[in-house]
Amino acid sequence: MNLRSRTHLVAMMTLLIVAVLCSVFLFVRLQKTQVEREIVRVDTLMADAIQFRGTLSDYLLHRETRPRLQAEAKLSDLHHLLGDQMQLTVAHLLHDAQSMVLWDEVSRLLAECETLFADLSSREATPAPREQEQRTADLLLLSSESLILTIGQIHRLVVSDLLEAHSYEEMTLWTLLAGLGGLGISLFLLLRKGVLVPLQQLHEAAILVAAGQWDFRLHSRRRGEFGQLANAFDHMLDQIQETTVSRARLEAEIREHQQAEADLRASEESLRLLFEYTPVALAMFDREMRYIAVSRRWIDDNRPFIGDQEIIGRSHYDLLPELPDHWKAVHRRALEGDTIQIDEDQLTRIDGTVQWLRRVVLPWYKDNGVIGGIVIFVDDITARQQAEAEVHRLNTELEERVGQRTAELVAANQELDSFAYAVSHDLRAPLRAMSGFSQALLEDYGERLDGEAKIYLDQIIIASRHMSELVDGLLTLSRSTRGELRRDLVDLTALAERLLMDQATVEPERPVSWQVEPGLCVRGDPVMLEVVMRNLIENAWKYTAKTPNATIRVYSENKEGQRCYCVADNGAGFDMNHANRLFKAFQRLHRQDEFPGIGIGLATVQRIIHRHGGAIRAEGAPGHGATFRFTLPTAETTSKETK
Amino acid sequence: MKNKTILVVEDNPQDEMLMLRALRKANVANRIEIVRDGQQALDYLFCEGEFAGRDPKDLPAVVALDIGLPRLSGLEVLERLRAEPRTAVLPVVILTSSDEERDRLKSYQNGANSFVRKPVAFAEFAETVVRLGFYWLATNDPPID
Repeated sequence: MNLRSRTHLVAMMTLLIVAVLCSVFLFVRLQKTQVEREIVRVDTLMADAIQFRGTLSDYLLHRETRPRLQAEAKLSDLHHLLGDQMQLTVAHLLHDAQSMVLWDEVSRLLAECETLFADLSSREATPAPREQEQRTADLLLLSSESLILTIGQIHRLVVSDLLEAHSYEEMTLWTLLAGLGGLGISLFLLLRKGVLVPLQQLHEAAILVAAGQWDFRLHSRRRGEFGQLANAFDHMLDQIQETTVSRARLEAEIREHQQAEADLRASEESLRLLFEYTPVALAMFDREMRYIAVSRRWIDDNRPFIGDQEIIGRSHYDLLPELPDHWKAVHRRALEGDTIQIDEDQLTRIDGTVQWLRRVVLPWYKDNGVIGGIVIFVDDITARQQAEAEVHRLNTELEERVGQRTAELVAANQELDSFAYAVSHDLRAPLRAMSGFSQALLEDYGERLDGEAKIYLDQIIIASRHMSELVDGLLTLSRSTRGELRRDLVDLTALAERLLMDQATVEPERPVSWQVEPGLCVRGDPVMLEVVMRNLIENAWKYTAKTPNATIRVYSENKEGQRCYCVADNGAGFDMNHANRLFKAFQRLHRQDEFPGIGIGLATVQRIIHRHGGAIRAEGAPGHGATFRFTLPTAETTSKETK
Repeated sequence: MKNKTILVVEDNPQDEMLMLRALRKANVANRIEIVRDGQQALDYLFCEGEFAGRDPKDLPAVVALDIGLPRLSGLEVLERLRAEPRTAVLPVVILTSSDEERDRLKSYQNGANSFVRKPVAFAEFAETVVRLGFYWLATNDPPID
């Protein structure tokens, strides 16, 4: 409900209440007036009745006409008064039963008095017995007495009515005053809540906003005009704020725009400088081939044709009337949207030097996407061309040399292969013949030979067997690194365990103990690594033959930042002074009668480790065992290694 | 067993002598034909050239073929034999000094029935030869009777 309807309602209600209270007050006042008027009448009636009583007594005493007439007149007055009274008060006294009874009594007594008085008057003319006349007079007196008494009773009643009416009037007056007071308070409260408080809030809000608090909002939840006003106020603030913010933004944009303009000018200047000083010949033309911009280099290059005249704004074709037609065709194509690039244009200068040029002719576009003209770019690539030619020549030379070396290497490898093949094939047959015929000689003619001859033949057999072993060793060495190098995961622990078990099976009588570190895993060629481990373990096994509590250990350790795999024994060891001979083919540090061997194993091991890109080192002391450490670079670090 | 022939293709006279001696010592009485090079071996088996008059049906029970031979190598001989229907299934044992893997592989690829390396030690050599003789002459059943 809005304020207006509320005000209307309150006003209506106020009017209604005031009207009701006034009506009640008027009613009570009217009633009081009536009661007062009745009192007056009852008083008159009383006075008349008393006067009647007085004149009657006078009449009865003197029996004169005048008192009789006076009494008659009073009776008549009483009769009229009573008749009026009856009419006037009938409405008022309808609900007052006691009063009614009393009034009826008064009427009856008056009627009785009239009757008795008339009876007494009539006896005046006719003589009547004295006693009867006295009795009538007594009755008349009695009735008039009763009449006075009854009227007195009525008087009392009316007086009490007056008092009652009076108190009613007072009460009504107070109620009216209280009602009016309440109304006043109610109106004030309504005014305060509905108008003053919101008005105050609006006032405060206006002060705050005026002080610059643009983000202040009333957020009123009121209904009615003030709610709408508050919302309108908030909305207005929103708009003001937006406008203010947009203004700030607009200002920022303007600043940005100014900055951009400044940047653009700077950029244009840079571009102009760049264009002018760019170390290539560069020119920009409009659609009519008039110069728009040009680099110094372009002017320098074209000085022999155009001299030092100003060329901006002039037509290229006017400046160079002898320009070949095919160039004009190129320009036309660029103007149609093509980009033409002539990478290597050879030009012989007037002085006879050869120049290599790279030309690019391309269109440039206006903002609306229309071709505005063309840009011609000429770069002297003579130096680059020469450098490229030099690089090409060097590359070719290098390739030739590499090819030559490769061929040589291939030939050498093939030679080595053939050699090894020949060795394996051809060197063995004579050895077999030597040992075979010696054996045959021993078997077939043994009884004819003396002891010395037999020993010599035995030596031939032993020597040929040894040579056969040497041949085999040589072959093993040459083959050890032949073929492609694989890079598989190899379980070195399992391999070492297996090889040690093999040794233990071959020589079960040897009490050798061994420790192999678990989890040794490397990347390499499985076949070649088996050769490595077999040689190292066989050596360790062999050189611990004379050691009590022979122990072989296979483990890994970090040495100088590299992972080393080690095979160590506590056997015969060697003198470190001879360590450099250890890995050379057919070189041995022990005599055959100490430890037999052909001296090819460690040479093979080293070749394989080198093939893997690793290194091997031996450490030992005579009688204190030997330790062989080798490294195997990971696949990543040796990925460039080829066969 | 008596009428079966062994063809030995061997250019080394010393190996030949040792082989013959070993077989003799082992009392192998079969006929042993010796040819000295690859071409001769083919001529013998195909009854051509100097062996033109030979009965083509007379094939040896086994051919002991060396690899390193003059004129035609053992591997080439083997290839030609396998290409010819008559000798396609003829038992051929490669008997060589070589222990090259590629020779071994090539031999089997060309259809060799066996690959035996000649041991350098005479005793082993003799034993190998005798064992081969017995195996191919007595133990093994030939493809064609």
